[in-house]
Amino acid sequence: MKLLSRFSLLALSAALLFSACGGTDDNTAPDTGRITLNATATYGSLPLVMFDQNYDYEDGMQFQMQLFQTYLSDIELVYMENGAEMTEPLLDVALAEFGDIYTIADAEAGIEVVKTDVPARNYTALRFGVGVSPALNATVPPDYEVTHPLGQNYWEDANSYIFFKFEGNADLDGSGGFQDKLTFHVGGDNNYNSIEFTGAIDIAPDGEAVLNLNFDMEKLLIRSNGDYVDFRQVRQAHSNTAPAAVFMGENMPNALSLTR
Amino acid sequence: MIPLYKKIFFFGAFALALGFTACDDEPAGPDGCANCPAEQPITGEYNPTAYSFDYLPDRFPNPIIPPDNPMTEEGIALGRMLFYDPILSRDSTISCASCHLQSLSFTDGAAVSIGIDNREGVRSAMPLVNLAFNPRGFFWDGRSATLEEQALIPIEDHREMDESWDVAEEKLRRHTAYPQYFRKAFGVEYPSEITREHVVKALAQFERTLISYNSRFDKVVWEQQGWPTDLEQEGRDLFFVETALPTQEHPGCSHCHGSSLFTENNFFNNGISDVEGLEAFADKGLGGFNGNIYDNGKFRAPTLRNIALTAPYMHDGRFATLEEVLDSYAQGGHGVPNEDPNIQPFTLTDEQKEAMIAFLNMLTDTAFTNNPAFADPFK
Repeated sequence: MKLLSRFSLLALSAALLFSACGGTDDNTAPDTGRITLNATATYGSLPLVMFDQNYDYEDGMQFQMQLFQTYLSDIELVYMENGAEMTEPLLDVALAEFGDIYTIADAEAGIEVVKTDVPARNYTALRFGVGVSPALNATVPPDYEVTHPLGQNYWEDANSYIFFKFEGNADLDGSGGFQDKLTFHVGGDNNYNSIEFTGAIDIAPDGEAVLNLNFDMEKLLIRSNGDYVDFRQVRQAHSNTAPAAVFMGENMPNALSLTR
Repeated sequence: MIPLYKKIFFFGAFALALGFTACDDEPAGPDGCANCPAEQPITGEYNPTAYSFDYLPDRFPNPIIPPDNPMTEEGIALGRMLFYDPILSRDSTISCASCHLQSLSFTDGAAVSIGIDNREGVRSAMPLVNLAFNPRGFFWDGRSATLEEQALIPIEDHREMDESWDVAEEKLRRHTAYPQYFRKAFGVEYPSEITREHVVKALAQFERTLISYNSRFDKVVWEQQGWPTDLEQEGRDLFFVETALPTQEHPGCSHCHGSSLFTENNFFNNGISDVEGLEAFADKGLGGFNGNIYDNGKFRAPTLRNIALTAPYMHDGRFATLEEVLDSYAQGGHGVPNEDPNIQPFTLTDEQKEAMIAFLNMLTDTAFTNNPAFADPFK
């Protein structure tokens, strides 16, 4: 053990020496840039605003929002080096919470998910998961500070975090009254979606790249083949297996778009 | 018009009072008058002992301790005395413990609390349980970000202690014993250095120790000591059934009262008020504090630990029993726009209601309500 420690110390000293006497003559040029990932939410082309905005839904229904929130996990940038794919981790987990968005201006501005310095490179993709990654989903809130994103939103009996919540009020009969409450909570490893958006994300030294990730509730609720979550039939699903929960879990990747 | 003789009398009396104050035998602060005797330093050691939360079970999160108010045994002891001592009230009749009784999980059994001169408050006394884990502000409306900020308020509230902080500080500085305790806790060297900041720090330290984790639920479910009764288990299933079939009605209690703390300290309109619109709440709660109309009528979801001891229920004590609470939730709210969507109608049979109550009774922690470390140190 002691021998190993001495060897380690020697290696460290050598590394420091080489580092200090390295061949670069550029000691001042910044080798990092900044990446910012914002998140917005819409219903189709309409900014997603809590309470006041009526959203036209299928078959004459309308709804208003009260909450949309979702976890994002293992957010990383992808790049190639010597022909091999490499990743630059940005954040292990974030909770994108839109429940305090009350105005169109706030909805359009979105919320900041990540803002951090990264090595300046020509990245080739943004990769992340929607929900809580299986590794993190195997943890429990007491593993974290109460202020940590994973310090809450946990199903004790299902051993899973609630990956995303969609809550609001529906007008099912066109009466103008939004009396039917909508509450869909989805979790479980089976509803975790790994997402990758490929495309150049070039970050120059001292430069910044701003990405915007949008969640479109219309595409979350309505499939391209016309199938949709029928609020007249189901207004509540708190589950990892209920049909409406699985429907939304499967649809989540379709609801995402990334702009640079 | 005040007669001249009265003016002279009042002026004379005022001057006399000033004279007595200036020449009092009590020590004056370093910034006192020139003729006063020099303030005597407080003798005694300042060697505080760090407090450890190492007894906390793994199922509990780490407590939130402000960097500028580390927990010490001496600080907690001082906070405990200040909590039970009516010295902080105008007429020395009301202490924190007047409205926060240990036997009732630090509530008072009243719909709204009664303060000095029998003045009626506006809300029910909140239970002081597991406050160390709350990151979302204190009071029913979350208006104080920290326990230290919270403790500043009742002293000057006219319905509670109705004392000015200036006077409260002076009473503590002149007290025969407190300066020693402030020295032990915070290292103050002179009585005049004792401030309200020290007082609220000590109170907050004591309050952070008020942790309940030894209920029957803890023993049975987490420590696997014994088994729940059939009724308790049925109640537990009803309480936590979050992954129910979409068509199954259920109380959904754990939406707002989840986690091992039985709260995540979030704010909700829980559907108890039948009002015409968002402006019509008699008590706007969180919205009254932050000005956001959509937060009107929202109040903190308190912990359900020791809930059987904290009647009457809700911010205004409108429900006398847990049965009334369940009946209200079963109605599914009143259609007010910002009601939490998880407040949905459900039906409970009499047996299911009994089961829910049996489960809630499991959360009673007599080790907490009988803990001598939380009791009145003056008895």
